[in-house]
Amino acid sequence: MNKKVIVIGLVVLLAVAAMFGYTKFFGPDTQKGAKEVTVEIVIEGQSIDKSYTFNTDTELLMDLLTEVKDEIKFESLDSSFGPMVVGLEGYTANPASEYFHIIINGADAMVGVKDIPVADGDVYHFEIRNF
Amino acid sequence: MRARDITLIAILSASLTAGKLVLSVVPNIEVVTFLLITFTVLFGFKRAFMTSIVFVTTEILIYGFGTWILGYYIIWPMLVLLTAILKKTVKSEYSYAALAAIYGFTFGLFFALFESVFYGLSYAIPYWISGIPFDIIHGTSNFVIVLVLFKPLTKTIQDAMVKLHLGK
Repeated sequence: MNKKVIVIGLVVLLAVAAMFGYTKFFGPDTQKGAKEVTVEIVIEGQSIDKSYTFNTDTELLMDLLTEVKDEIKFESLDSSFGPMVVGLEGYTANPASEYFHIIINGADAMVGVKDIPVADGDVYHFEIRNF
Repeated sequence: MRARDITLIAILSASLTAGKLVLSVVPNIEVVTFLLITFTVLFGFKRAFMTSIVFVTTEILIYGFGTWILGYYIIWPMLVLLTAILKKTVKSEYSYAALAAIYGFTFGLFFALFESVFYGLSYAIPYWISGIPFDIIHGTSNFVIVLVLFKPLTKTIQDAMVKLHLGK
């Protein structure tokens, strides 16, 4: 039994190290301190095309959106993939055919708002798209 | 297949479903891998294979149909097959624990690759990367569960079979 305890201890230790490694290499690379970012919201059907500049200390996009919730009329919905943007500027996406597409500095976001780090100078573009 | 085998398969698959439901509140800690390995070792490939098929079909009845179910129809019978192959060469529970660990660590990768067939690689890569912490928990817990419980459960079932005069 002692041998098993040692082996289990070693495996658990390796798992903890792997978790640490994952957080270091794949975790959101956040920045602390004052950051100036731009949030653009385009909803073509409603003729909404707005651009905001925010100064923030938040580290993740979800936190930023929550911070400025009243200004941009942000609504989210919890899904199995994490929080999903469902409403902006008072417009709620039709869950059957529309979603808010996120573009960060011109490139399509690969993860959700909870995993997007807020970096100084970033431009977060939200636009309604059909699927 | 005899009536006794059919009954056995029903009991074994029910125990898989029950085991899964009991631990469903804990993310990625499960006993399905452990039980399927144990069942393959104790009851042989054919019965364990059928058990895995019945178990996955029961999953559809509980959770509904999704593309993941197709993956389940591959991954669980494949575990039975790998255990049956491993059984021919090794007897130690460490080997089964290693197999269970590899299964847990690569579970997310398998599903990412499998689901990329339906949704593309741009879905699969973030899916896999965001699930790595869960795979680490899955692989580690699988290893510990098999190493600790394989021998006691095997012995208990074998003793019960002797007491109940149930031959193989």
